[in-house]
Amino acid sequence: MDLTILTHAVPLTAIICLVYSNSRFELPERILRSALVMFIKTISFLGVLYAFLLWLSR
Amino acid sequence: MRNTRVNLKNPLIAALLAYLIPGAGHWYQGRRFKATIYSVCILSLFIWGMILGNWQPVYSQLVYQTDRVTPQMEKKVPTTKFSFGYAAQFFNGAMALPALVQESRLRNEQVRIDHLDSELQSDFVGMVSDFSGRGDDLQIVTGTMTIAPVNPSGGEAVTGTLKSSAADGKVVEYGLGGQIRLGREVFGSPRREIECRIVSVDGEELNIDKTLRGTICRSFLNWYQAPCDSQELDRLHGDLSRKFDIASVFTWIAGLLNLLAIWDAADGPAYGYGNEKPEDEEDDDEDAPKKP
Repeated sequence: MDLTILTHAVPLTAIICLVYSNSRFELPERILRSALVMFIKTISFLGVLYAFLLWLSR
Repeated sequence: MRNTRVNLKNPLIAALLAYLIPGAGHWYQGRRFKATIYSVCILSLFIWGMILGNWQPVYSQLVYQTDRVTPQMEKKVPTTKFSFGYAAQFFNGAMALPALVQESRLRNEQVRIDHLDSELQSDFVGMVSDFSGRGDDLQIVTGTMTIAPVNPSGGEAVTGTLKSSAADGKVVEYGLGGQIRLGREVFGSPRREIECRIVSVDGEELNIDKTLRGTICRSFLNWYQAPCDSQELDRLHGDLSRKFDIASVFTWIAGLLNLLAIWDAADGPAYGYGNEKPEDEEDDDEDAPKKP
C-alpha cells in the first residue's frame, strides 16, 4: 500500500477541523480547543478503521 | 439566530468578500484571527490540490468528441457537459473564476484550424508517418520546431524546420511545408495539436510526402482552468495516477470549506461566542451547541 497517499490525510484532517471549529465559535481559545479535540477524535477513528482494514486484508 | 456580540458590519459585503477571497470578509469585519485561519487553511488546501494535479484539476466543462477529429481540431463549438466537481470548486471564489472566463473564451473563439498567423517556435513531441496515414512507418520524434506562414500576413501554407536529436545523438533536421492544421488556441491542455508535412530531411527532398503529427506548447493563459476533454484527463491519470483524484478532491473540499466561511461572515458563528456557560455541566460533548 502506498503510504505517501495516506499521509495527505493528516494535514487535510487538521485543516477541516480548524475551519469547521472556526465557523462554530468566535473565541480563539475555544476554536483551537474544539479543533484539537475534533482532530484527535477523527485521527483516532481513521487509525482504528485503517488498522481494521489492514487486519482484514492480511 | 444571529449573535449580537459579533459586529458583522454589512453582512452582504462581508459574504461577498469571503466568497471572493477566503478570510477577506472576516478581515473586513475586524475578526482578524478567524480571517487568518480561513485564508491560510483554505488557500493552502486549494493551492496544494492545484500543485498535486499539475494545475489542472479545476475546469467547468468537459469537452466531448463528437466527430472523427479530436476536440482540439474541431472547427465548430465543441459539445460540452458541466463538470459536477466545479459546483464545489466554484465556492473557492476568485481562485476558481478563471474557469468561467476560459469556458466563455472556448465558446466564443474564432477557430481557424487551417491558419497560422505568425511564426511559432516551440518544443515538439509527436511522430512522422507516411502520407497514407496508415501508420506502417511510424517514427517518434521530439525536438524544436520553428514554423512560419509562407505569406507573412498569415495563411494555411507554412514553411519551417524541426530539429530533432536521434538516439545516437545525431541531429536530424526535417524541412516542413504544406498546409498546417493547428489545434484551437484555448483548450484545457498544455499541449496544442499540430499537423503538417515533411518535405525534406537534412536538406534532401523526399520522394514521398510524410506527415508530421504531434503537439507543441500552449501558453499558460490559454490552458489554465480551460475546459478539457477525456483524452487529457486520461493523460493526467496516466502521469499522476491517484494524485490527480486527490488533487481534485482537495479543490472540492477547499470550496466547501469556504462555504462555511461565507456563512460565518454573513451570519456569525453557528454555536455562539464560545464562552457561554453550558446549561448542563455534565455534557462532555465539546462540539455540541451551547444555549446562551
